[in-house]
Amino acid sequence: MLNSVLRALAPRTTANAHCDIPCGVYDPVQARVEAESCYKIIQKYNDSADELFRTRCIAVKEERAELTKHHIDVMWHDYFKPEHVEKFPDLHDVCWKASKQASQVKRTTDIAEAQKLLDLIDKIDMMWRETGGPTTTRLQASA
Amino acid sequence: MRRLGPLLGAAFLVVGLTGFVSSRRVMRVAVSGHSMEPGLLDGDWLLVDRGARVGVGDVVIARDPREPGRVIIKRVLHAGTDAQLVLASDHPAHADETIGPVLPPDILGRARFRYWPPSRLGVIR
Repeated sequence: MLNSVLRALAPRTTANAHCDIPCGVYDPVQARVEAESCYKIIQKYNDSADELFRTRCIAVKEERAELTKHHIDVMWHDYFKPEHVEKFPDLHDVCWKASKQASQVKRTTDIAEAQKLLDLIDKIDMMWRETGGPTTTRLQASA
Repeated sequence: MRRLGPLLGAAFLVVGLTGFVSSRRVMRVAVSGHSMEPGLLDGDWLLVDRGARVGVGDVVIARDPREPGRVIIKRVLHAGTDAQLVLASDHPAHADETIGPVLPPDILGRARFRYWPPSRLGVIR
């Protein structure tokens, strides 16, 4: 009887309380490189008449845009802290728009949309620099 | 009839408790891991209030913003004016690690009560 009751009361969801060990290395350049790939691929797509090549362009662009989105989200969720939001009140808005823009680039071949994504990543880069990111999150070159 | 009294009482208690923890507002979760020690231990079973208001200091269940599909249990460290939360572990070795911002739709509820093991039955603080 006790086993039946326990089975009925057993949780169906596991909540992870595992220790998180982030490496602490953050740099928007990861997002920038993937977004530049999207930009260049859209250029090549629009310049080509080869249908097979254009199909490959679409597939690779979607993959790169997804990586861009991932790197933006890592900056947003893991690097930026409440004190950074105090310094840049539009921080959440910029990151949110950049993440959405990466999704937009995934579904378009409009080069202007890829440029908008680069501009938003540059804003994130500026906030990363202004909050000391280059010195606190990257390994410094040995003398 | 005297013998039936305690049995009926226990039966009502079991049925009542089962009904309560099975309601839609309450979610049952099992803790996995050690980052919420010493308050919550690996294997604890908790009742989570899905409709509760959540604020700084509350233990919450949330979708992990870094990994879709993963559910985490953490304590609210900071609440922004836009209702976005920053979460942290209780374990002293991980006090400087934060997760967030977590958006309000990704907060699944507030952990209220530990119902297993019986030796550690009690309210979550």
